[in-house]
Amino acid sequence: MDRQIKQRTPLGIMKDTVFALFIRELRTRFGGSRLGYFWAIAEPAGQAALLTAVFSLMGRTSLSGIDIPVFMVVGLVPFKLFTKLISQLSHSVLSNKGLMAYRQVEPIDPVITRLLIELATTAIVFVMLMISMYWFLGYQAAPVSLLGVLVALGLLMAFSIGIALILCVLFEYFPDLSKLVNVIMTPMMIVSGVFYSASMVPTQYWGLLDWNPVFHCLELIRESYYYGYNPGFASLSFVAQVAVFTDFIGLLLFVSYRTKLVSP
Amino acid sequence: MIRLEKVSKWYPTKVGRHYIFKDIDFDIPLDNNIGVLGRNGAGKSTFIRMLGGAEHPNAGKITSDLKISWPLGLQGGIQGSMTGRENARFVARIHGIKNTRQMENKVEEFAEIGSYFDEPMKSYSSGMRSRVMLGMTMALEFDFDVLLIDEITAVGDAKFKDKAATLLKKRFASTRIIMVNHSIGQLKNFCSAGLVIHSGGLKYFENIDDAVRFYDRNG
Repeated sequence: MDRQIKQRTPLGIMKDTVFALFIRELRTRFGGSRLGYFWAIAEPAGQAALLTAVFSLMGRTSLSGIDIPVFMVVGLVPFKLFTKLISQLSHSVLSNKGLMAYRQVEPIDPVITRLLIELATTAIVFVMLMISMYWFLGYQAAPVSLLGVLVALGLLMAFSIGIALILCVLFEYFPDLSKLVNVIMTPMMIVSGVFYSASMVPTQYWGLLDWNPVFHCLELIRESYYYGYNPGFASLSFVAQVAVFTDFIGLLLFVSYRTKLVSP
Repeated sequence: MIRLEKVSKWYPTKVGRHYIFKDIDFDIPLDNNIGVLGRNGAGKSTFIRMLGGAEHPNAGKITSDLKISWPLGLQGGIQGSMTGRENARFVARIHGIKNTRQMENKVEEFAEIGSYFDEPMKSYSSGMRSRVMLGMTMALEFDFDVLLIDEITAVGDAKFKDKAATLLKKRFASTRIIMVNHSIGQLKNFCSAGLVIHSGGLKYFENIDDAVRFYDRNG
């Protein structure tokens, strides 16, 4: 008999599984309504517009020499990536528990799936918002150093993944922790410099903010985005160290608690 | 053959670890279909789920070079928010089948649940779930050397039970079954060998009647 199930390499199985999960996630995420795709763009655009309006009412047209709408989008989109990665990835194992019954599905597969979806969404949203701001509004929207932006975004992503992996394991034992995470994430927008820069803060207060790797990343992104931008306390090596550390702990926990992650 | 090497499985309880298996070495011969017997809570479902890779032992390992199905149980293995069709597609995809349409249609045909096939599976009755699950293994052409069945042939109406029985028996030549079922009658119907889970160990009987006798005496 012609065997329908073919012999595959472990990597091949993973690819098939991630693809299957990818389709399933897209269905549940955007499939409910066609508006899902619309909101992915409209949400950050709306937030940027609102913040621009607030600052315009205060009589400002630029922050640190940058047009306010551009400043907002460059801060908001990466920040959204951070919050989305934390919330989506940290729940990815729990919300696919039923499917762990299949030997092919490893706990890391839904994490990878959601990571791919968030990265793709962020890239599309970022590029579309930037192009439309340049096209329709005439703002200077292209980065000075694309590589610099990608490196800073990559570090932000790596840091978020580490935290999310740690949370994946913690949520197995303390599901209520997700409420606490929500509480913590709310003020993160304020202390991450989404709508202000470090150079606008008097240096004696930097100690209150410079512990936050997200703030560092946003400043590094802006530094690569605009010519002559002063990144304040932002340090690439600090972010890199934090990212490596959280990824190490996250992966260590994830591998050690694999048994717990697959059991219902 | 499925080989268990130094396998331990426990669950945490308030008074410490509750062991289901403690450090067992065992080779499961697969010359015959095997019915698994054990008291409630002895670990029958856990055993089946470990064989299917749905749960990992806390220590030791389970190895085999056979193609083993996922555990066909009433819990797990399906995502309630997905429809029957989506679950079928998912199973096809993780098994590396690119053209899922054919598989979907086969499952739909076998399950005979009408328009419910496109409703989320959390709205299904246990009988309907079993229909879809069994349909999925059938649509994969039973391309498994071993089929793990945890109670799903025990639910559903008489017509479905007959259908399932006919289907499984047709495949006896190529596929072995390891089955958990609370009905001894059904076990005897499908299986000629028995495996008793007894005080943290496994005992294999070539004849299911011996297994039942042992279980009645010690269970």
